[in-house]
Amino acid sequence: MTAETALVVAPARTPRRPSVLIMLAFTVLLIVAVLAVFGQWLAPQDPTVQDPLLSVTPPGDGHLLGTDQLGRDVFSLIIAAARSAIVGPVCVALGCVLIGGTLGMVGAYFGGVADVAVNRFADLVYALPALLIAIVVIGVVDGGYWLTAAILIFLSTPYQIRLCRSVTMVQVRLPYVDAARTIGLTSRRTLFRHILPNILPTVVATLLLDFVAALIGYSALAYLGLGVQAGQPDWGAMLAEGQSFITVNPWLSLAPAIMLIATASSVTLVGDWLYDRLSSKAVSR
Amino acid sequence: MQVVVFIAKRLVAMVVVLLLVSLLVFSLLMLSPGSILATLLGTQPTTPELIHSLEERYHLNDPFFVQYWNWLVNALHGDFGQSIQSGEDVTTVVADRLPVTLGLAGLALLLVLVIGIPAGMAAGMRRGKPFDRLVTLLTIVGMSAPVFTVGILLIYVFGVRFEIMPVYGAGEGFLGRIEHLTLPAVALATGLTALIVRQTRAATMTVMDQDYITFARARGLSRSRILIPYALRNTALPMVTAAGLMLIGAISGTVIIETVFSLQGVGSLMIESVQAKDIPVVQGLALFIAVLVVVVNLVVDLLALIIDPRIRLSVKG
Amino acid sequence: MSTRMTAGRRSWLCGLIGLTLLMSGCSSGASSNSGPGAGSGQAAGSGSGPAAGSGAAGATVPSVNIALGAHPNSLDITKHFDAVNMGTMSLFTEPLERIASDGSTTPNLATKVAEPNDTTIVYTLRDDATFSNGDPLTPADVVWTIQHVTDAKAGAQTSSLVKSVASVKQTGDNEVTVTLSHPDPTVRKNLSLVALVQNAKFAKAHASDLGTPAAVPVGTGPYQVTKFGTEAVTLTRNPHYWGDKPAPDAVTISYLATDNTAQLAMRSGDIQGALVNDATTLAQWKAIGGSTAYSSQALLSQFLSLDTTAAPFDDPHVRKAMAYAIDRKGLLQAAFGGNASLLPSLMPVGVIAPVAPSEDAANSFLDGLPAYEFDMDKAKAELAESSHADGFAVTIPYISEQPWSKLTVLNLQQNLKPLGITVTPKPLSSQEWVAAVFGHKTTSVWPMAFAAATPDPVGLGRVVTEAAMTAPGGYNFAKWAPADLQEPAETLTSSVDKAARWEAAQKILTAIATEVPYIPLFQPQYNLVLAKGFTFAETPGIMEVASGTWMNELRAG
Repeated sequence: MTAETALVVAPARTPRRPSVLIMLAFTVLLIVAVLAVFGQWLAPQDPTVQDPLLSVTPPGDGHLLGTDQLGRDVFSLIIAAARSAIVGPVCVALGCVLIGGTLGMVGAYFGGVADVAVNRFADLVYALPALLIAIVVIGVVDGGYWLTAAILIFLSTPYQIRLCRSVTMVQVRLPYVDAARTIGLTSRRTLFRHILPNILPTVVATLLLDFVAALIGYSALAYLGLGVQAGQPDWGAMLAEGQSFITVNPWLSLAPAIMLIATASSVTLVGDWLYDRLSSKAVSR
Repeated sequence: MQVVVFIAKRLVAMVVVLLLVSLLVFSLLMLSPGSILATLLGTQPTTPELIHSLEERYHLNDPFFVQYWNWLVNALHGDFGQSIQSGEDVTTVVADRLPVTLGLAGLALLLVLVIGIPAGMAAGMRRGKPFDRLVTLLTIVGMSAPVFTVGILLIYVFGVRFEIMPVYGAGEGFLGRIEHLTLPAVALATGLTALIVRQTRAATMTVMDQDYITFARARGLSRSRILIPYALRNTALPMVTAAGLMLIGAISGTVIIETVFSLQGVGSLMIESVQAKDIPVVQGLALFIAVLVVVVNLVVDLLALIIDPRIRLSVKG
Repeated sequence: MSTRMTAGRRSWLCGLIGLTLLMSGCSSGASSNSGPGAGSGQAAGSGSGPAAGSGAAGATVPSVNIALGAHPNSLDITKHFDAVNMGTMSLFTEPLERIASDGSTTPNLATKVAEPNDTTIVYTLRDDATFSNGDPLTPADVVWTIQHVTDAKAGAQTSSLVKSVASVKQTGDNEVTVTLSHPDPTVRKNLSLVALVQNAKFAKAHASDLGTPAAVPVGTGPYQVTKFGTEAVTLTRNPHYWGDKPAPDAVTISYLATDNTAQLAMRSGDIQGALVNDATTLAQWKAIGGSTAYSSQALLSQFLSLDTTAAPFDDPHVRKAMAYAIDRKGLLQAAFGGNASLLPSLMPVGVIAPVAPSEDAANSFLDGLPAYEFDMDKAKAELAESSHADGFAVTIPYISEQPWSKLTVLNLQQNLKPLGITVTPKPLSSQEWVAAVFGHKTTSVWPMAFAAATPDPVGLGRVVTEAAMTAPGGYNFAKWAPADLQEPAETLTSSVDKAARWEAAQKILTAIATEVPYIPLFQPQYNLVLAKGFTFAETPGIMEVASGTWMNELRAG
């Protein structure tokens, strides 16, 4: 393995040590992850309890961030919403990487009709504004949470295909792949044991980028009232509701906005950092 | 000659894409729950005669492909039909909404170029310095933040907390328009600017590593005088190729931003029409956007060809 | 199609009133209008102008700009019939009689209206009215207009309200006679609402595009339309107007995307008046310096309809458990900011009062009806008595654009959870909702909103009849038609006896309150806000807007 990988061209980057910023990003992600898993036990109040007479009040009186239209505690809702904010995007990112990565690698390695077909499909999707398509499709078929995931996977996979295809292409042309073929390794072994480790940094980094894209997509759809069931705590939906009450209780819209920005930025930061680390590791392996 | 063949191929592909898009949208809307009939009937009690006459007038009982064909033939003659909601020509409806969207897009583009390129170059020249680190952090936040969250923060800070900027509506007159569109344009430009800063920064850093820069600096020449022309030239190609991607991002962003700031533009028209199942308008808009995207992509490819002839080698794809 | 496109608010999608199902007047029946005895054949005054107390008191002002609901699809009422947009239409095309919120009518283009028998209405037209294009008003114009609004074949949205009109003829130099196919207690009021008289010559010349910006109908009203754009309709004075001039020289009706936009526009002085879409924002409107809010009760019922033919709602105990489980007082605050009232029965008092001996009598009757105050203990007890004591699962739709319906369903979801009832909220676009209502596909628990077209409980007769379960334009949403209510229903739609109709209305409302096929929820307000410097002499209700008298009540200063 070392003989083969040594031939890889190293990305010209200097590895970064985890800075304060990265630590901060990890902390944010850790908090969000903890909220997503244990949120229902951590919320100071039951986020489902309604008190409509207390409709939209500013912070105070036992409600740290005030109440929403049905008199529910905004702080607890924010915590409870972490799960739906994370789970869908994680599934979308994994789906994209698994499907797109495999198709891209296989296409680049074997070439031929499959490669052309995959490429044409990617071309088509490239020409479409993904979010707009999602709005039309989900709006029209009245899609729920999981259908939204499927559509987001469908719409972002082509990017993954393209990326994996191009990085695999680079590898395929390198001598070690020829060497592997010469000594009679199976295609599968070559692809997954030898090429994959070399493109892993890219794959991992794009996994995180896919997550961010899915998080943005999900929340944008929820903001428009799509893909999330009414009453379900959701950052995007809360933001939309809060917008009309921004003068009465600004936290109803500001808190989810801050959570979304913090989560998405932290994942991007970590993705950047991880890419640098992994690519330098791949080189030194 | 190669170029002509290239363009011809792309034009054929373009037509295919446009046909596919229109067919896709048409079938989606036909399949969707809630009928056009309901839109036409309004909220009034109905009678069988009423339903019958409406079905006649809008050819609602024709087979799917007949309806699609009728639409297509008319569209090729520049007639996209009338909006079911307002009864006006689709072209008129879209044209009415276009100024706001164009103003928004223009202002956002201006911000992207005026802020993005200088910031990216400055960061690239000061690689690793606090300024560069700050810019890098900001681009990451800018790229990651969903566009509507930026919008809501701007609305809160400038419209509610300090009440110094108008936050709803499009404004009257030239200055009023600019005043009203500034915040939406900033929100729309945030993500795109981050993208441009990244590109410019990377290009500038590449230039910084070149021998001639080291040489020039050794001779005591001002860095920026040498750098800027080179860096600009180096940035041109990645920027042009990114334009297609940026356009798609901008279109999706416009739809949301117009909703956030309740602007009566093409983006909000799209959402309203999808909502009301106003097929002629949705169709017209979908085609309009598809044409825009396809044409811009074609222009981008041609520009890339002009800027860097080496690309011709890979043109066959 | 589609979507909920944003749950929470999005008043940019549609104003409240525009979505309302305007309930039609009745179809069959025998009676003259407005009660017995008092006089078929009553002459309704001889007009010397519109409603008394109107007319241009005070100074004229150059212009006003008022934000009103959503953009009309058409300025021809047969293509866009809703009460709010009639506020624009009736400024340039006038009705024969103007109808008020209490159900009374005053002469307008007709100086005299006679009903010589149960199936004949004779309109005597004023001889001094002139169209904005200079043509004098002729009986032919009125004949054409009435044919136009009753023309179901051409797809007139107004046609079902005036179905009983069999023919309309010119019967004198200044006389038009309408003949009915059968007696109809509400047709005269309905005609006064929808028959906005247009210049027939112009209308015939623009048959295909009448109502579009290219062919705005020509009328005799105080104004004429000078621009019909996507964001506003601009009207200037009709130089030939016959009556007392309203105060503004020019009126602009704007269609602003949101209440936020409209509020901002009023703060900056761009608009002088607005119809408030979202009642929760009323406090913010009142906070605008110098503004005045004018609120009147809308003739609108918002309620839940329960499908009594299918389990579990075929069980009255389950229906009562549902009624007890809604925190209506709390929701009134959440959905309307308190700017609405609880609906005491299926119909608001303003709709039933016209057949009651007095409004007090109507109120005291409503007070005596069984009430279902929010009480989870009682809900639990009712459910325990039912055949679904362990609970059940149900999907309840809500109308995306109407926050009250969503909040009600969410409230039910939360309150019913401890009882073992699982509620899944399902969003409906207004189109899907309308399609289901007209298609008689209202399942399980259905959010309903309907308005009486004119103040009369005639619609009550139609929600409980056997025929209304399937007939076009029938409104038996709950599929609930007890045998003992069929006769009162018939009385309500066909009797000439006011006392008998009152008796019938009481019987039906009592049965509904006891058996709970419908759960009454809210009666919204109709909120108009005027900016500093403008007032209304009388608070206009929806009927005053629809009939155009609101502009005569506007005062500057």
